[in-house]
Amino acid sequence: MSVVYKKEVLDNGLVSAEVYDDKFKTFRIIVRMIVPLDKERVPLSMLALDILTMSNRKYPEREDFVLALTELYNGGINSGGMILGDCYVHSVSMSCLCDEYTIGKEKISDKAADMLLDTLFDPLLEDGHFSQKYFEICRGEMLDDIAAMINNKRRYAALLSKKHIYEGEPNSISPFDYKELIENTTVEAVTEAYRKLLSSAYYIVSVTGGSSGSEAGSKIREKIKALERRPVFNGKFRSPSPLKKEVRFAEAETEAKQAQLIMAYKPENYNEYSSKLFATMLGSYPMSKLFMNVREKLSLCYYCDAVISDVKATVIISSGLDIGNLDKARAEINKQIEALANGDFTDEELNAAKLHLADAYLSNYDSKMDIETWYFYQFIRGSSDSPEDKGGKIMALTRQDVMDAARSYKLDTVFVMKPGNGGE
Amino acid sequence: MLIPEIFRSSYTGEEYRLYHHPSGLDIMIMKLEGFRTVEALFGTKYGSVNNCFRTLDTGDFIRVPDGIAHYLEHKLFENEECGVFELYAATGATANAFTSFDVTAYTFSTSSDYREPLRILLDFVQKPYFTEENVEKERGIIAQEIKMSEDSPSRALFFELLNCLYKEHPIKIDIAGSVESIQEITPELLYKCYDTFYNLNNMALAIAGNIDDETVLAICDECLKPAEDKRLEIRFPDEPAEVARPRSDIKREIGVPMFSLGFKCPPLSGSELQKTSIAAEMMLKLMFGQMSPWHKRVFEQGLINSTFGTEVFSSDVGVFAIILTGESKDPDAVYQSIIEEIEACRSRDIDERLFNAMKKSGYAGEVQKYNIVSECADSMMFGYMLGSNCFDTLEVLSGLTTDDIKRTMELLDPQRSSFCTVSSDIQQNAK
Repeated sequence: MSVVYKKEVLDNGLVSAEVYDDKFKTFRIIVRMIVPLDKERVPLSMLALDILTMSNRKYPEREDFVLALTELYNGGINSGGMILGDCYVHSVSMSCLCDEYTIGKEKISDKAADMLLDTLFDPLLEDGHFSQKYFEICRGEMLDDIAAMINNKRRYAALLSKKHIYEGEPNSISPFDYKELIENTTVEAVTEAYRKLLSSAYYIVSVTGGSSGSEAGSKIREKIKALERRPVFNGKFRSPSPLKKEVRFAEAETEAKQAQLIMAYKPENYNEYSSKLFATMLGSYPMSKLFMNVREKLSLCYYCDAVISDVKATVIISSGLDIGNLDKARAEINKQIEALANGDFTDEELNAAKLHLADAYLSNYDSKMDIETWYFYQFIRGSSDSPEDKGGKIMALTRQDVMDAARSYKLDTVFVMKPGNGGE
Repeated sequence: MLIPEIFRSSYTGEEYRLYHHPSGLDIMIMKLEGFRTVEALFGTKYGSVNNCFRTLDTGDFIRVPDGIAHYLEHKLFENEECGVFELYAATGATANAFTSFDVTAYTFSTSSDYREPLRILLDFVQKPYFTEENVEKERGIIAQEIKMSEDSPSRALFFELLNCLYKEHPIKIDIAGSVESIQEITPELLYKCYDTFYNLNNMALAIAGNIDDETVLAICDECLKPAEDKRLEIRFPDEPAEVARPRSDIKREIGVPMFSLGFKCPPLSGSELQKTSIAAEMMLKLMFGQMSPWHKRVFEQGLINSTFGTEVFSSDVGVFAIILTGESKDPDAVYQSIIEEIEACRSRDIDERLFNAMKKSGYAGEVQKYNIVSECADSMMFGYMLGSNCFDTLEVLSGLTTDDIKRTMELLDPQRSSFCTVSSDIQQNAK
């Protein structure tokens, strides 16, 4: 069976997306709830969703909740979220074995759908509020997560750098900003945030994988349709970050052996396709300028990557290296961007980057999560492009397109996390 | 025409074929209907622990510097004419490689025509090119990779635990070696290791996805150079049953203290290793998993958080350890509760409902593997390296009994355990 993609706007602020492909032995339902990125409300909603995935009214104790999921062939329910431009996307997802692959072809998809519905809409409440026990546990977990962010130096540097790269924009919010809010919040406030989220969110319900998830998806959509909702989100997902008038230089210190260098570039004119190809040629794969020169030729680092954020139109370069090599690395990075702007690259380099992207797009078809995410990103761009469509647009780009994109990107922010103790 | 061995899963219907190629290489092929991508691994039974060996060429046993297997993996990506990534780039395929304690493998993934990427893979792995200059160039890159790892507290904890558990075994050495040990690596030593371990009789190819056997075998016929058996012998030091150190506490700048408790178990091999590993994994979930009374108690007390996990760390190179790890504001209290739970479980019956749920969960986990092309290729390769086939796990799992689980509890011997923690001297204030 070939891939079937169906998108439908069902109601005010409710969109359904389905991608079926029966080569998959599992299916996944993800309910996304999109709200404006409000730094007072979003952290409380995140905590609320964590509490939801601990238990529900039918299974009030966590171990019974987990056992019920395990008996559904290791069915998993998880909460998550991400910043997307100036909005926040909360999600609760469930994955499940397709009915035809259970022992004795036991029908479990409807039970799994009920489990997801109960988790989202029928939580364990005590006097109208979430369970105090699970509130305390989840709050402790969230605070531990925030404290542990320092453990991964690369991730830690990326979080700190966002403050400077996206200064003054909702996107600059990091978990360190809401630590105090979480420490001081109450179970009542978190329950209220949950209710507000249900009524105000813009919903996208996606079902992906084997088609036995189809009925389960319908059940979820019907329930959301019946909710009393007043979506407040305006559907504006993209918020390109403005280029600063002067380059921002900032630094921090941590106990480490390596320094972390982060450089952000923003465009004067943004084009989705040429910017993507520019970032790929610059530093997104092993034939890129940064890999071949900063790593392979100068041996300065193990990684020097360029990643593009489409919603922010920003290219971020990151590298871990000895503090004494920072200036050398920065000079080489700038030199490679100039090389792309001046057309100092071969046709082979250009074609290789195009092929790399087109090939990577097609590989989305072989992962039910990736193909669902693919169409989610098309949706927020207002398109329904398939991987083939997008690959075709990349393949049509010219040398001049890459040069124009490279010329358009200007250095915006340089962030360095220096090793404070024991670094070299 | 080669006649393959055929392996088929009676549960999922998946099958793959194993061909013994005249070059000495074993080739595993799994065709996956409906998938677009192809994933291949060209691997050798050679990892960081293989640092003392001899062949007909070396005469006596030789000891090579720590981290050389990983260094060799990096260096193979350069051949005489150009870099290997350049060759792959012209096809759109994505290439990578990894070195573990006991395996090194080179991979590619493509959604386009797989024939040229397969030729490139088979060709470059058989064509080493090491010079003073290119070996020197790599030293800075690998030194940065090592420093990046050293900045990871979880990796520091893991290797501290292995150093506490093992007195002599090279498993305790970081796969990439150290900044100091890699200074000793020369082109001559790299060639010596290459000639020893990159012999097709010691290697395998696993390929899965949108492929057909005839095409894969034709490319193998074209590219593989028959290898002479060099009578490889690997030596491991004698490892005592006792641990090296029962306790270690290290300091790092971290947010929440971390702990790791390891139990050193007698080494196993072959099917016994596989069955015991699977049974021990289930035992750990029953005793310490999210549904266990122990987990409920310590989780609700706030002694552990969701980072808590268990692992069976085993290999047929003489290593078998059971590890419990996580974050805690009071690691010693967690240690005490684990030791008490082990004692209490010895006289307690296994919860049948939980046991059956675990079997269902294990079954689902195995079925899910065949949703993912890369996992199919990985499973064939890792099964092969352990001397089994990738469907054996499901067979073993379905045959497990509660008695099997009970037996593995004996492996949790506090007298043969080490407990390690990582904590911070610095008062943590999130910025």
